[in-house]
Amino acid sequence: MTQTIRVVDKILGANDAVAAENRALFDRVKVFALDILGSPGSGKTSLVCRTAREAGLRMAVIEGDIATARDAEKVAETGVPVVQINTGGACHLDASMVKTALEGLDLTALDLLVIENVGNLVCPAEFELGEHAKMVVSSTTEGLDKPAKYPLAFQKSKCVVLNKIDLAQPTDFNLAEYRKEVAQVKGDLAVVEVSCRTGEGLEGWYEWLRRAVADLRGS
Amino acid sequence: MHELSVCQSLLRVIEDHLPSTDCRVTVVRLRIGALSTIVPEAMHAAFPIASESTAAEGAELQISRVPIAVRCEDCGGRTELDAPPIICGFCGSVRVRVEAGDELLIESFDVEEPEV
Repeated sequence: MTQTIRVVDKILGANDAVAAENRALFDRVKVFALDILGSPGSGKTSLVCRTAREAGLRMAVIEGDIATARDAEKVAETGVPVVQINTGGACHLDASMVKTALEGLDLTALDLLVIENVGNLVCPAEFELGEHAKMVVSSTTEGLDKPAKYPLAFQKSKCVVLNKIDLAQPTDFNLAEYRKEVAQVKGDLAVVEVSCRTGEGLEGWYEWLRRAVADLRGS
Repeated sequence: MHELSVCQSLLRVIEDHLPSTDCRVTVVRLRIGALSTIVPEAMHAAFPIASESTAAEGAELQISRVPIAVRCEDCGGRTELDAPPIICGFCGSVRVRVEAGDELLIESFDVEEPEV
């Protein structure tokens, strides 16, 4: 005899439950947790390193990569605490990986925890880690079409940092057109134009971050 | 490309709801939003691998696609879309709130008890 079992439950419910535990911890210690998404080569690690050196925030970093500790080594040079997660083939971080990584970090006396996800605009968008915000690092060299092609990553984000703005002209990148593309995926999504090479625009990004940290403190 | 790990999570949910230890799952019904990054074809490819030697081995996966639904904050209209641009279909505003389309849900599954 066939019996139908009604469930109506989130498939990733188990991940969401661990994410909620992580989030409760971040809220308790008042550390703003940021999940950074972006294509390989968009400049995520460069942005993390400059932020570590220049934003004036007490931060720690979790680096997610399929393999190697190269990103963590770069971040460690800035002097901030960093934990590397190697996913061993998985294309995204999940909440349990972050929970394990948190054991290696002292969250007290921090303002900001940056979680640099695996370079991929697809899968990381689907997994909650317990973060207060997701964001996308994109770059002029990737072209205009990333928001339309990867709408979930942009839809779930609170900010887009558009990197390599110094290369906008040589790559014929149309900034007004890009802002329009972003708005057509998420109307109120902030776009901050920066160059991690020249430093242009980074102060605007640090401003966004400091405000996010202050808002959490105030809540 | 993360469909295999999604299938593994799905199988854990099914396992938690199994009415008995010796029943066999024959059909699994999912609702996947159009905004989701999950590719149905990849789910169909991954599910037999993930479900091997479980109660759901050999089960049929039925996936229904949920359109993106947005509510306009300017005119109040509700629009259903299959893909971006995610804008109001009535007034064209980008000031819209996503009400549906990012879900990744298991709706139900069928089980057969062994003949006694």
